[in-house]
Amino acid sequence: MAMNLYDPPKGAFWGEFNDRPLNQDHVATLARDFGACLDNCEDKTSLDAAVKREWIKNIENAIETADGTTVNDVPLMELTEEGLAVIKPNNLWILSGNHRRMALIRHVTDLKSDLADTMASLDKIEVEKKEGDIAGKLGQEVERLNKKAEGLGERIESSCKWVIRLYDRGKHSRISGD
Amino acid sequence: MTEVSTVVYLATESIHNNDIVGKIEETGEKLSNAIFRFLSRNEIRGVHLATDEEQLQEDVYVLKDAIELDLRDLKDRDRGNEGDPTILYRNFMKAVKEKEEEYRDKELSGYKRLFCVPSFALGLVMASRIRRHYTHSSWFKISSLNQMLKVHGAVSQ
Repeated sequence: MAMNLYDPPKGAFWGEFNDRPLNQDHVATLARDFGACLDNCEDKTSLDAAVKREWIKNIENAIETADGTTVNDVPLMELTEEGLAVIKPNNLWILSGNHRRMALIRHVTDLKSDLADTMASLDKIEVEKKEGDIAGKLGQEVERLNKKAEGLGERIESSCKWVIRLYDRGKHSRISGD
Repeated sequence: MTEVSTVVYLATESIHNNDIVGKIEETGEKLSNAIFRFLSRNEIRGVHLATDEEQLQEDVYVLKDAIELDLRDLKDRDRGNEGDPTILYRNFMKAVKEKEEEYRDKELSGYKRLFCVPSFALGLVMASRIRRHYTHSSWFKISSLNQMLKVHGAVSQ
């Protein structure tokens, strides 16, 4: 399945079994690399999540492998009401990808900032343009900026997600707050 | 293969065979901890990239599991032999022996030295029970611990 890693469910928790401190240099390198290649839809780079079956509303839609698909084709994990309530006190254990999560936040923030700049440029043209200006070079610039904004929007949407491999914790419980 | 290595091996095999789905916490505390820790290892595309701290932490966790078992038993047991760790902390002593054997033939002499002195390892593991994040202390490094052993780890007999 896929999960929104930029804005994960409340209660998603990294470090239950390995809480090593973040290496900020590594995060910066990853964030830079994500600009060129975001490997968020491969089995080998999927994040591992420990869940209970009854927490996942659309568990039937889970797919065997993410290889050969795009992240937008992978069903996004939806949580049941029970799941949402139970995971709140850090009970949705994500067992890998802490550095990637932080790098992804930087990467998506950069994309959002780029999109905001593009939209601001479009607004500026809209305010300053005079009648007839829309033809010629200015028109081409508007078209270019619109295309760029559209591309960035799509990129942001798919960049927020990451493929996760689900491990069922089973019936026995070590849920805090039980 | 030591008991702990067997557990990690079983966890690995189970994961690769996809036969743990729906069962992780039903395999018992020891194996499920091993599985979760295994899944939480610092691995990128199958390459284990543990930092010095992570490697040490993995070993301390194993010993900590053993001591928790001992302490649970101690509540129900006569504390007659208060001073003898081999009696009080049977599981811990067994685990530390396994660790020593695990590192015996490896090039990681710092680890071997650490587990050759069970009383020091006991102190380290006891300290780990106080606060979850003690492991991020500046001294939680194999080199610092070995330095401590060098200064304070002499045996009296």
